[in-house]
Amino acid sequence: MSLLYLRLQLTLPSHHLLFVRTFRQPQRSTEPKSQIGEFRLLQLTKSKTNRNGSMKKRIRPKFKEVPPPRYLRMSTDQDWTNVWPTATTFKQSVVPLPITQGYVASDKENKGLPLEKYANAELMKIPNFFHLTPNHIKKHCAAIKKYCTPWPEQLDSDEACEYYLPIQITTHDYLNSTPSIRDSRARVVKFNFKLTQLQFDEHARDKFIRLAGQRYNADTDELTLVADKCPYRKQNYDYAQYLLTALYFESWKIENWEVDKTKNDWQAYYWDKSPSRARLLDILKASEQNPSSVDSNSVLDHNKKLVERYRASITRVQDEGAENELKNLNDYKNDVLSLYNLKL
Amino acid sequence: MLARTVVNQIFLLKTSQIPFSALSLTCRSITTAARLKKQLNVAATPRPHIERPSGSDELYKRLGVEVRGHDPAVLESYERFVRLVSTELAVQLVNVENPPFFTERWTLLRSKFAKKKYWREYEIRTYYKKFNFKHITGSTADTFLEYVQRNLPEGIMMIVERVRLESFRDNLVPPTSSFSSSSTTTTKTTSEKTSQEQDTS
Repeated sequence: MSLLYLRLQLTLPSHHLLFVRTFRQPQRSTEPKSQIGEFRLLQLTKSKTNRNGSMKKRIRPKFKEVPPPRYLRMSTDQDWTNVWPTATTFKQSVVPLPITQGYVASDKENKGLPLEKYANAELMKIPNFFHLTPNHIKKHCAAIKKYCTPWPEQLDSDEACEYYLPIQITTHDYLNSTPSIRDSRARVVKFNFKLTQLQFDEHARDKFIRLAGQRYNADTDELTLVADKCPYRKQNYDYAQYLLTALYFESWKIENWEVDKTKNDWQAYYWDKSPSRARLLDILKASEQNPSSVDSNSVLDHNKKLVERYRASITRVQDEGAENELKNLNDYKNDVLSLYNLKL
Repeated sequence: MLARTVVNQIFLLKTSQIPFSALSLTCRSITTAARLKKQLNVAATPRPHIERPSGSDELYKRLGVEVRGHDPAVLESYERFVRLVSTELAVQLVNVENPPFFTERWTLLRSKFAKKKYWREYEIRTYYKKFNFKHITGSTADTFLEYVQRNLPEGIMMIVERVRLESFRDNLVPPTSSFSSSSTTTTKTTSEKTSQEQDTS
């Protein structure tokens, strides 16, 4: 910041003796006349009757002579970034704009004229952006641009981001004008990823989804883990990583009791294990001439095409539920009729 | 008719066991079974091995900066400022959202004592503005946020939401086949281990 605007000349005459007036030696005596002499009366408190000299009139305060406002001497092509470098309160003598602020209700207030910026408290109260003009921003950004790094080109789309770096970790930061910089909501960490990014076999995937429960969204195949138990963000992040690892490895384990899975617990309809297949075999065997000599595989191969169609239609009925119920049931009916060679 | 239908899922199973999509009862949830069955046999996408040594720059897929204040004019000036900064620092500003303001109202007595006929209405309004950025690195984000936060006007609150990208840790691979297809003895020990873990945790 240049000091040229001061336009003062400060020169100290070094070759003269400098008399410095100290407070211990007043130039002339300020004591009352009765006190002057060798021995002064001890006066601990000022007596009211004592008066120094004649009574003077109430002195009107002399206002310092204020020079005209600075904005009158500003040129139109000056650098505003030097005039208003940082955020400060509104200074009417520095801002070269004819700003008004305030509501005038009638001709009696301020003679009906709009309220000007001189001694306008409302203009001083509100935040101003004189320190953030486009020129300011350009200068500041030019100075801090060297700390920025470019985004890698391979991650140009959402799919690419998902492919290379599948987990999305969401955190929040809070900035208030409160006495404390802490905000306990900042401890929350959220993990998000698609299950296709992890390797599973059929059992592991189903077990993972069952273990995850409400955290798994089947529509988008996404798992969400929200960690907010611990007081610090790093602790919650570590806990979420631990949870993810535990979930993954638990889903690959096969416990003893998983063997007891019944048809009601199946995640999908497996016709090969179903009672429908057993029933079909019984019926087909019974329809043959020599039931005991017939092998189950050969029976199924015999009517392979029809059995396959029956299998497909009954699987669709079981899996799709109410979506195409009418159509599926119709197909099922037709396939059953063709399989057993019946006619309606 | 079967345990897999939506209605049966809700009434036969406990609330915790019902899959989330079944609880919502939208027309999408009815095909949960079919969708889940298709997903069971989905092959995992091959995971490329990415070297991310410790200390490397973070990668933010999304950055959400929400500002809240009582004066909409101040927020609008701040928006102009942030737009200029994002063009100068080459930060991708996707859009600026203006969620509707929230107003808190009280109706209080005008007088200290009695005068029940005369009341006064007070209200406090909070205006919101949300800046959405995408594809921004850690150092750029820190620089941009520090500059923008230093110039945050008085009485404005800011909430920053960061969505960071990370890869899975290297240990998340399927365990070796000998372990997964183990006999009952090893499954017993694993169940013992899990119970031990539960005791110690």
